[in-house]
Amino acid sequence: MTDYDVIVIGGGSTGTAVARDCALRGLKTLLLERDDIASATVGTCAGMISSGFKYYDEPDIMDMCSQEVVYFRRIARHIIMKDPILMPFSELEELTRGGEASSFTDEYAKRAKERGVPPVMFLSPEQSLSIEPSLNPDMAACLYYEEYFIDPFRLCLLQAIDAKQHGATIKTYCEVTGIEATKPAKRVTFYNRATRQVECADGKLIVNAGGPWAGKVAAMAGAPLDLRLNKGAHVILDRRIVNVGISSKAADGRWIYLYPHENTTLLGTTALDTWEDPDVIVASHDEIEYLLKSMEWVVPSIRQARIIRTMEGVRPLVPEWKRSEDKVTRGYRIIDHEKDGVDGLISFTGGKLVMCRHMAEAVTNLVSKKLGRETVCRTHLDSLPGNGADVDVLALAAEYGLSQHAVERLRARRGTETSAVLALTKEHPEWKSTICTCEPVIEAELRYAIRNEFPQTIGDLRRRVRLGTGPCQGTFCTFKAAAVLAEELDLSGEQYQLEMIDFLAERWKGKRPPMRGGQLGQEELTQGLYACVANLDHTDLPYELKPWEEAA
Amino acid sequence: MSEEEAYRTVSATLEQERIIPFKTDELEVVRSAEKCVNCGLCLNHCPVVRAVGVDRFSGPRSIAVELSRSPPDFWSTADKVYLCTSCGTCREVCPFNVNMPDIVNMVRARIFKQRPDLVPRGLRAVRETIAKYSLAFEPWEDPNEKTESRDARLQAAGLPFIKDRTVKGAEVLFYPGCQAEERAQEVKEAAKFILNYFGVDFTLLEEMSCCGLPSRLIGDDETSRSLAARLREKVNLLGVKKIVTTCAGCTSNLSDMSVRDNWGVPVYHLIEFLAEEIGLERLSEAFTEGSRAGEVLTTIHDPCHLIRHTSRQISDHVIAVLNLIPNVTVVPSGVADSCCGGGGMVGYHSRDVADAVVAYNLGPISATKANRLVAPCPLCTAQIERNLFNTGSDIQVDDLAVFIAQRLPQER
Amino acid sequence: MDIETDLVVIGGGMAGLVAGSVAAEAGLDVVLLRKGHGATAQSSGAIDIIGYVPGATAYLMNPVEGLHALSAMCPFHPYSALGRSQEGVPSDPGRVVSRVHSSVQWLKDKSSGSCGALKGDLEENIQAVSLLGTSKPTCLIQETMWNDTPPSHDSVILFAGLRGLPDFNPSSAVKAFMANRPYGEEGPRKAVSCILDVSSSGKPFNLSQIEIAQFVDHDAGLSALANSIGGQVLKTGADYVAVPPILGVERARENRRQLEEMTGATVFELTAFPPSVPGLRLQTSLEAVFRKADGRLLAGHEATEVRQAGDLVQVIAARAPRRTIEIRSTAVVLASGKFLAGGLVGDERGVRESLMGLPIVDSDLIPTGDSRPQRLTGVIPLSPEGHPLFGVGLAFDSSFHPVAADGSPIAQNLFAAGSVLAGYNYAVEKSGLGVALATGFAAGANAAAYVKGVQ
Repeated sequence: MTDYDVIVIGGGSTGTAVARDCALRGLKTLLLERDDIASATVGTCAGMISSGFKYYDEPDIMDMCSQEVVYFRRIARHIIMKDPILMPFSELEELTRGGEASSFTDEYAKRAKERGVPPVMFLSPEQSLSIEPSLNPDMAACLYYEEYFIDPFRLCLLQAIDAKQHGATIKTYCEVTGIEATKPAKRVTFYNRATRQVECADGKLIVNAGGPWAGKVAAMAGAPLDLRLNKGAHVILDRRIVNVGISSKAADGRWIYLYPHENTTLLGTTALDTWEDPDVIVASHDEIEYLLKSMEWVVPSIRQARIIRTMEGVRPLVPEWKRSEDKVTRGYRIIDHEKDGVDGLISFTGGKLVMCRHMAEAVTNLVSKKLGRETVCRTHLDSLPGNGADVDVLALAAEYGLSQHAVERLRARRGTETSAVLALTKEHPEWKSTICTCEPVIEAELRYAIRNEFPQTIGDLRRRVRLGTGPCQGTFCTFKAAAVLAEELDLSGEQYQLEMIDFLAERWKGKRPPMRGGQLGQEELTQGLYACVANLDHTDLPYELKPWEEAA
Repeated sequence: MSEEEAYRTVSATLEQERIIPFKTDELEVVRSAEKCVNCGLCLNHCPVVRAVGVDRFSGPRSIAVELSRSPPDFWSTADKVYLCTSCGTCREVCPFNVNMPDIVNMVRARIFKQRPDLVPRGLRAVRETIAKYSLAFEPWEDPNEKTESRDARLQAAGLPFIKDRTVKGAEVLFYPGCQAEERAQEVKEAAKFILNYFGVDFTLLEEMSCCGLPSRLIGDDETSRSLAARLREKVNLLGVKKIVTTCAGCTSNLSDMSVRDNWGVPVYHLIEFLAEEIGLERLSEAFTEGSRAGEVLTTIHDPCHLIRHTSRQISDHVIAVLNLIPNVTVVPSGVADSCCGGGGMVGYHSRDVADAVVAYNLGPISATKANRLVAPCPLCTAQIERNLFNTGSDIQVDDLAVFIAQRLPQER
Repeated sequence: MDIETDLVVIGGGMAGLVAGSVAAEAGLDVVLLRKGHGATAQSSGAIDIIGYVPGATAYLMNPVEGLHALSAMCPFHPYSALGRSQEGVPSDPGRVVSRVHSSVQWLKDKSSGSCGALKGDLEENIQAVSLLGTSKPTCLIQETMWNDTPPSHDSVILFAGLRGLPDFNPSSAVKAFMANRPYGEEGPRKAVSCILDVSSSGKPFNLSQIEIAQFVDHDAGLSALANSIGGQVLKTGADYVAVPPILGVERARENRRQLEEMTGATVFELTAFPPSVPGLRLQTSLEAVFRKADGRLLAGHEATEVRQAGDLVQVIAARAPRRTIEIRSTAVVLASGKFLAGGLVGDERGVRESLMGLPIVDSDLIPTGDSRPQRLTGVIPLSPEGHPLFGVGLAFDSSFHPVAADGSPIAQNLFAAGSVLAGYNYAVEKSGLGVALATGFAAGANAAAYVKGVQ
């Protein structure tokens, strides 16, 4: 008697997609995540569900990506936004060199209609500047195309919640510490960081979606797994400072981009091979300057924009070595460790956010086959929670006496779930109050998220509702959110204070590397609140150093 | 696909995604908004927040740090941004002088294009008037009636009529603004009288047209820019060296346009012109000669468009000039620099909010025991006068130009 | 020249307003240029003198002891400079204490009876409880926050929040309060919380402290608050009622007296985060002191240039939204604040003084203008050591002249005060408004002496 058909290790985009697919196909599923959903690689990506535009030397992958975009528009349109993108060229010949242009424009055009985008086009400098006056006018032309962006946190969370609603068990803050081959199943031991207990579960099959930790997970079962770990930094700028996305070549000829995303603009990314613990890496000065310097050529005013933070993540690439990162396949591999003599363990390497559903489908097909179950994949057909009819923002705002903008932002995160959140305010009208004044987030959404989306910390709430992601970086919402969390989770006085310090530490991790300009005054203010007034700098609370703090 | 076709396709996407590209001067405004640190000091000073609370008008902080972050969502701020009276108090107290009034204009300009149906109806009506007449108010149907009204107002104010004139190459263009042109005609006449008295070589426009501020506040950026361009052309044709106006809003807006579009002509409010160009000495002489009015205990209202959009020094000029007038005693109210609620076009759609804003001022004004209130702006004058009247106050409210003209000798 | 004056003060926070007031009281014509509000208006209303010796974890029971310790241990601290009668001599702690004492006494006298009236004693730090339920050592607090007798062992303290005011969650504050026990073991054993229903609009959500305080300044608001608190006092038997700082803007002191009369409990305000009403009250009362001394406050004017000839600064250019002016002045006090007020700015190349590009040093007087801000920070956001970034600023001499690398004054008639100065990290030391007060007091007096000397 085993507990589960499948134990999925890892709560990123792939792991949650796998859990969802397995659960939808009726498999008994457990997902174990060492931290929170979407807390590592996917939580540091730009959120682009790429049409595969730049993978023109891998036409199959481009084809897969563009098909997946069509599916996302079907199952998750409420958390998707379109960005038009300009790619300026300084010389026309860059465009026509080597016949590259024709192959990718043709590929891009393949499902253009289903994706709801026009084909790739060329715009004159005048036309380009009228769309984006921030561009350096010294250009020959711009290539124009359109891509979709998704809220990566909500995507992962919705996949996990959908899995849960279909019978899966989702356990966050459970770090796998051992995998044992017992008959007929595998026993997975894990440390539950919330309860501080060691627990275990048995599963017929294990899907290792550990991302950068996949090698570590495989090793626990005694299986070899090579990965090419590659880190990437983003610089996050306050508000949407460009009208459209900009894509351009960096100092070393790689492609970088500047994308408006939610209420921010993302400048990314770097790509550096890494062997460091993913928990301790932060963006370096070189990465930040590389990005700024490179983007400065096409957007000369970029340094005038306010940098609010950086984020750094690790890509678990397919282990192709001795070639530059951008020549490594963007595809993924499924490794059945049966070939290594480890039965019942399947691992992933590689992949992109846009492929997570596809990866899940492929692995779940394999899982079903191995379990001898006949199943049908429905993940490309069934909506994720909240993906339903259009939400009438103005009507809801009027009905509940709320700011239209607050309701609109709520809708952009939650789609049809918006009504359920607002319904909480019928009994508690005080929960209409704004807690995070940047995004904004109302108290009802915090309470709803705490009750329905299993967060443990303010950081988890940040991923669920974008709390603390604006220019003040939590200065004015940390203490309010901590109090709400303390009430809902019945935290002690110590835990309540530690929650604040922990979240400030998490924000500081990204704020510190690019610290300059407007953030200096902002940080003086943050210190003014939490040190000068609240005195949280002088406390004997049992604060535990964070991994990146210990490493420094 | 041809370039034109391509551009049309792109434009369609931009429209669908509600992306309205920023103009270069708007990027300065965006950068200003980026300076906000969310501290909320502005909330402690915002007159609209004081009047209606943070829930109804979420306040300058929310506009800078929340509502203006994502242009495609600007339409959703329509329930808030039209309640800003554009007084600029927030900009003045802000540690980084975040340019809130222009941020509000920029947001309104996008709502105007994204969702014209969400622009308050009262503003749409003004827009139609401006589109039709290039004036913020519907002009008099019968020119004779306008003249009759003018004469009646002149008589009530006890001022003579100075003939209108349009002179190419004059030193000064006197620009009355829409309110003094169409409604408070006595202000226009008083200013003409004053300029004439001091021998200023001035001209009027051949045909009055709006400076574009109301359009800007409505969010009708195109009309605002075209009105400004038209006025610039008229100014150039007349070849004047200075512009003098009696309207606070025109002062700040024309000053802004003059710099933004390189007019090369400085703009003065009448009171600045008197204090700086005529000089306190000449004024003093004139007042001594002309002092025939009785004792007046007056308090002052400082228009936001002068003190906060132009310069606080102007309020010192007002006091300095009033102090020169025999029999006039100035008494402070403590609320002279507090917004009258008349700005930002708020009164055109949410009269209750505009009046709640000025309500704060009325008590302290009455408590001064003054029998007069003067304001160097016909719009503030009208807003305060009406609200004081509604409280049963018998304080007389005068535009400063009229008040001054009445205290100059009638003939030289 | 648009204006000619004896003294121009650049900056309208505690340091600038005190310097300007002191100079105006000494008979100078003073023009104060205020670009916007800064850290003073954002303060909680508590005037910290010194709460912790830099880096120490135990707080100082007595600020005087702290001033002695600084004088011995931190020669470059602005307080220590007060103890030097001339350059090169060690700081005399007695002189430091006496000068800080004079400035404290001056401020208490001047603000007495105003909405920002202060209580406290230089010889004792008290614990100011924040609306998080934490506390900090501070010296002076506004009268509405002050308790003549702190809550004792057997008293019941009630944390009263307001429905719809998200800034204050009394149930969490009680938990933190009981975990921290800021009044020590002698403090109350029972703390409870409640929610009051007081709203001028009738809406129980999205309330701000300022609108409640403005409401309480009216009779209707005051009686709504009194009834609401009164009911809770009866229900809980509370002796003390801790409320957010909403007892009023102009009438706060009188309101408190009436509330206590009506409810029978001691009602006091907690310290709060910006935008706090006590910060507004402090700013307002300081401006009133300056105006009463016949100082001329030019709000909305940003100094954009200071022109120097030889060893004198002479002309200050300032910008209003649509006008510019030039002021000729005999002396200048630079009190432009740190990063939050814009006195200092920084980018990836380093940190600069924003107006004149004056040299920047850190707390050890080491030139640090070329350091990338990030390198002046630590890896932990909150620690007793704080970030060196917030201790950088101008180097200065014992007369509060900003000085060049060789220690010589930048100009004979240029003085500086407040957080634009290097040598102290106010957030962690709990010394912000105290240093601003004492250095503003000294710089104002020095500027006055200078101007009188040349006249």
